[in-house]
Amino acid sequence: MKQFFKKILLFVPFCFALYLIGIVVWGEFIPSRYINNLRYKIGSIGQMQLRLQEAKRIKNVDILFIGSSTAYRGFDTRIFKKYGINSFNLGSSAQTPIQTLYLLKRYLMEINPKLLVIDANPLMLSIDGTESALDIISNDSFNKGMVDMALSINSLKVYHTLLYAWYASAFGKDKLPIDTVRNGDKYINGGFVEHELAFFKHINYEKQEWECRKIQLRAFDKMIEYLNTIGVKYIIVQTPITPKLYASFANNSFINSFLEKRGSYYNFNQLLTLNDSLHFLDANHLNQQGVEIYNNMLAEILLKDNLF
Amino acid sequence: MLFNSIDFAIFLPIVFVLYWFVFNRNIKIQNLFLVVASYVFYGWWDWRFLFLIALSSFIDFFVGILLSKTDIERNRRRLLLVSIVANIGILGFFKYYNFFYENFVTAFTFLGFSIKANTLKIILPVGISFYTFQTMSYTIDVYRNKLTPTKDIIAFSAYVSFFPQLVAGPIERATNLLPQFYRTRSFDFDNSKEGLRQILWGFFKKVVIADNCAEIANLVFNNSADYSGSTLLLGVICFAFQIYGDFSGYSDIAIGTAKLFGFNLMRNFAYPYFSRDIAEFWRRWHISLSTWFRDYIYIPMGGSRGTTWRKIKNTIIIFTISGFWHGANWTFIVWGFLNAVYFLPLILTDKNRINLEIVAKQSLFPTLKEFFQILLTFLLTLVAWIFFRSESLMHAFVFLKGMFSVSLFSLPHFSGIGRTVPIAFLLTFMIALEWFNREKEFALSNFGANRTTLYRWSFYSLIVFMIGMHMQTNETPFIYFQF
Repeated sequence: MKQFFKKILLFVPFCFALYLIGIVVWGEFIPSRYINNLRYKIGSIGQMQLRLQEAKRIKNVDILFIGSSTAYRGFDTRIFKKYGINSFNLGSSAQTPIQTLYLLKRYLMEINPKLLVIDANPLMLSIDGTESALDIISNDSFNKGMVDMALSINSLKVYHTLLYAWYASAFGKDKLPIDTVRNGDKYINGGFVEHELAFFKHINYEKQEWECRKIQLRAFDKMIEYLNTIGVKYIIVQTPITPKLYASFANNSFINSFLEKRGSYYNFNQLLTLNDSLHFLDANHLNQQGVEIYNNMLAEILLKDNLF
Repeated sequence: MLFNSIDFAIFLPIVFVLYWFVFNRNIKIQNLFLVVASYVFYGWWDWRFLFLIALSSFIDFFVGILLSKTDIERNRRRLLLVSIVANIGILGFFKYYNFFYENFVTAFTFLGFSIKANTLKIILPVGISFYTFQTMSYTIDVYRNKLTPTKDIIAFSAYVSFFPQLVAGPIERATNLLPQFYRTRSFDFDNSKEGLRQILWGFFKKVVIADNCAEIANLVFNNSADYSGSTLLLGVICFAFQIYGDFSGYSDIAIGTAKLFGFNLMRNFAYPYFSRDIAEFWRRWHISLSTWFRDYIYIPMGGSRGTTWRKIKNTIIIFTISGFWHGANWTFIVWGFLNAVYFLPLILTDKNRINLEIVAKQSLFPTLKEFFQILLTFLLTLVAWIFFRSESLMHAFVFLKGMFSVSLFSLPHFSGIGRTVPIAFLLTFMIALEWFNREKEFALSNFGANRTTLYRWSFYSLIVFMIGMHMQTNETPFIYFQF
């Protein structure tokens, strides 16, 4: 028995060492589409690398926007500029409250906004956050906060990618230059991503429900607690999705009730009247025409209500 | 509790340590601890169904005792009947009630009678087909005087509920497993190492092969009307390896885990896809079930002795029952029947026992003839798997029609085609390793005995790495749990 345990105790670190080497070798040589559980992709959808590079330089803005793709495709900093509002958009692909909390802890103090606008997309409350974690790990420089985020998500894919990111950071492989225009997306200084003008062909949906995960609801509360602790002023908004899709959810009142209790809340699905085709590039994202209507309205509310 | 879950990863070491260090003084206490651990293992899924296992154990234990107290044949038969009716009754209610009821309603509706259908929402208890068969084998063996009935209810309960094989086999015989609960177990280093190797290989087959093949198989079977013949063929090939990896992987984990506790379970798979004919396939696939049917149904019916008609009848009956055991659906019955059709030419020409040894024994590669025999057998099993996997007979026939169409000769095409590259690589790895170790109990058995520790450990680490890189991040249940 003693020998059995001794062998196991020796094998475990041996295996772990080879495992780490394997992660590096695979990450280096095997195309990511062939690997299930390692996804290190610099500058993937959402142009997060460019945004984070800029975030490190930005200081003292009026407004910081944060949220998922509905945020980085929904808040055009150029429109707010016309109202004399300096802003930065820290949205990222499929960003859930777990990642929002990570980004705030890492960048909020430096950016030092007068007002934080949290885009609370209910869909992001119903996913586990793996996709967004992979995006951030691949595009941010390696730091301890990533480990906390990985532990919150507790996914093998995130752990592997984190280990590879650690190696990439140590050997300077995390600084690949990327284009500002990719797949019809153009990165605009300030964090906004403008998509080529497109129109969505509306479809009908069956009745459905937002299925929020407890872990994301808890992360949302932690984020609010964090903001209250450091005394940052914030509002919560819901960027509009196509009216038909929004109407298909039977429990919108639950989401409204949850968000209302956590701060000043503006649901633009209810405040704005938009057209499924004319104002959207897909079911979840505004096109540039929709962005202009939405941002103009938001800017007017911000100014009228003296929110910053 | 699933083997491929964090729960089990915590459960197993705790039980292992308590078993060998805390409850090792007395065999009865050690057995009692195994019963408790097994009930926790099972109750993790749904504790209410523990009652069924306990009931099944009590009935067969007392029937065994009563059988030992009487020599009157009529009474002995009655006791045996009590056990069979109780076990089949439990199985029948939970697994087959709705099937029979729905078919009854359909038949009467067809004849012009109107019957209101009220099916029950019955939850199928995990592994019910396995443990009821295991307990029945005990009573039948006692009835046949092949086994002395036990008076130790704890050992018997441990035999029925032994957690490594409780929910998906191997379906153990009392003659093999029960005596192991009477003997004092001592920790065997080599056997435990072998157990860990077998667990590792089982995990590889389950989480790497089965779960990845399932992705494609599910996609193709769930949207079969949209795909070309070649894509459908690819889907059914993936299903063939999914079910093999899933079930043989479970068996390997079960057998390996039992070894850690000082038990030897029967072999359940012996490289079935290297078989040269269907008879050989059935000697190598789900061996514990095939031999159960052989010993307790087929041979008592006369087996392959007697007239040609009797051989045909017995073969069809045994395969059809085997199909029905897998699930309450006509697809399983047709799957069983189809295998009987494959089997009949061999049994009628007395060629069902010509391939008893593993193929190409002591050779590196098979002969061309053997290769084509293996290929043909595999193709026959593929056609049968279509029925096994399909939702209904109609689905299966449409699938077959789509597969055997001109588009069979086109290139497969579907949204996840890129995933086939790593899966093909992983399958090649598994097949090669199994082929070159086909004379052993399992592919990693006694692996690298003449090599250095560094070589062996590096290889095991490679397998651990492949599991880590290719496992699905959500827990996926084993297919055979539903049986």
